[in-house]
Amino acid sequence: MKFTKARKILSWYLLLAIPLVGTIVFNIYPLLRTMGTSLENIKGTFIGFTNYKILFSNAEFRKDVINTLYMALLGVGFNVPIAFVIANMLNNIRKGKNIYKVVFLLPMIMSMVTVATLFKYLLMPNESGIVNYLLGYLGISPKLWLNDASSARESLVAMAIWKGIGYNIILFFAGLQGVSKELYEAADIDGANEWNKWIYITIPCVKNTFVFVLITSSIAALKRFTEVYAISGETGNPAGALGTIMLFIYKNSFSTLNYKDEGQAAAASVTLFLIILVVTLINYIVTNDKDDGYGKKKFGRRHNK
Amino acid sequence: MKKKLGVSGVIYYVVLSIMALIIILPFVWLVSTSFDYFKSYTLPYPPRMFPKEFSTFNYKMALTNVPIVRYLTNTIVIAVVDVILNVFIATLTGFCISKGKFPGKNLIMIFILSNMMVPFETKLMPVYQIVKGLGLSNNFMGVVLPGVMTNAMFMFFVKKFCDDLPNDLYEAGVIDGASKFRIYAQLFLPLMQPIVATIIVLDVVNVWNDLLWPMIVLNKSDNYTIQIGLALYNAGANGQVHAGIAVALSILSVIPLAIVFIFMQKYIVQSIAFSGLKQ
Repeated sequence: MKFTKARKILSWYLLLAIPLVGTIVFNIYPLLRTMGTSLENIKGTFIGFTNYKILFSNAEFRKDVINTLYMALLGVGFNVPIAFVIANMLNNIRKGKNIYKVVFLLPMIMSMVTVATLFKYLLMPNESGIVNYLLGYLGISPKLWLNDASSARESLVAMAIWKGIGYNIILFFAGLQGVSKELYEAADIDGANEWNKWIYITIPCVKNTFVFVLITSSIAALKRFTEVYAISGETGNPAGALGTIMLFIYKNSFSTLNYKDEGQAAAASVTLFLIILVVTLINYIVTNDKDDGYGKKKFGRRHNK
Repeated sequence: MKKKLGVSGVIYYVVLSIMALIIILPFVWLVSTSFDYFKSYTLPYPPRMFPKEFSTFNYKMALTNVPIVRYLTNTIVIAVVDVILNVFIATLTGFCISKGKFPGKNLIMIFILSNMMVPFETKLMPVYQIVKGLGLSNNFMGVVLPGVMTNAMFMFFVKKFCDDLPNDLYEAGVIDGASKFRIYAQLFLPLMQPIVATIIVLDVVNVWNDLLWPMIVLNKSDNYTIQIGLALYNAGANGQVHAGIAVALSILSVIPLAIVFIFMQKYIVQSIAFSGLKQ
């Protein structure tokens, strides 16, 4: 009897063998290995936090961190609110919802490499770029866009938003379908205006979608690599404005052109992991807080009256 | 309760249409430029929205100068293998975690979920060394394996989906004396069609557009995926970059996904919505 029970349990574990082995081989071990490498020199001797000291005093890496955070903030800060507003508009029109949805999702079929190619040509620095050419008609002088250190990051973020916003619009739109119609009807009876309905009903009700969109967009933005690589290769040019943490890790692990340093790459990887962890936690705490404090309290007060 | 299209309705349509134009116009430009004919390496001046003379010159140049067909074939092979493995592993794992009753289940769930906590990008070097150690560098399996064995997101999509399927179905299978694998394969898998379609859609898009990991594993030009080929061409790996070829290559790289998109547009929208709701 005991034997058959053990066999039964074992058969479940056997069916789960692939993800279990995968998690050990491709997640747990590599994570520990990265942490280990970050504390070792090139010969594998333990050297404490020396790699981190070198890393944080490296001006290039510090710039990469700032670039990454700045572009993440800019990207998420524009992408998420605009996507939410557009999704609300989409939800409130009666005809053509599907056409708009499909159009907004079109950039999804293009890879980041393709989008980068497209924008490189659209945003050509001289007047042969069609954007500059068209702006010329409005009396705006040609900009350097991706070729100037002072505007490269913003141009890159605009490009990433162009590609990714449809995805978030669809996510928000789906979230809005889950908001109960009765809440709006009740609010109508109470004489609430559109703005109040939006603040007190819509936003609290799509909180889960907000958390999801915020976390996924922040993580993606912190791991930014393909965009910058497709624009300027390993260099992060112009003048390092497009250097990101991921580009730094890639360069120091797999570069074919430059000097490599695995210890630095590992230390940068652990740093990135921690940044992502912290940002995810902050996102989670902030969005949770809003609901427990602000949203519900206001709701309660309204009902108590 | 029919509402009239008020002022706000008009504003909505205007804003949405402007947004749609911003998305569409670059596409139109890309397609029309790919059919434009210009002799220089750079784009013609002054810039134009539509070709002066219609020509397929850029495509001919792209097909003769860049082994694009090879890249496309490689990518399709990788995508097919990746999708098959992902569907198999995710459905089996999701089924076991949802319907299985055995000690340590919660621990295993957390263990598998840990894959979602650690971004793949922070483990590139050690994972590459493992893949190399397995003799899979420059091999399509090396591109596919680390991802499909640890795709906790897809596994939990299936788990959530299976939670809504009746337990009686599993019990019925047990009473009939079927093995667990047969219960999965013959009773549950056929019911999982919607979630399998979601996985296929999301996975094809991911694999098709991935650059970083394939670029690390594959370093012989015979094995390149379409994204590697495209990125290297644009970086000037084949010498000076011809704008016409670059644009034509971009279009060629998009066509397979565009076909998927046209036939499955409704499904794609549903899949993305689903991925957000099921978290």
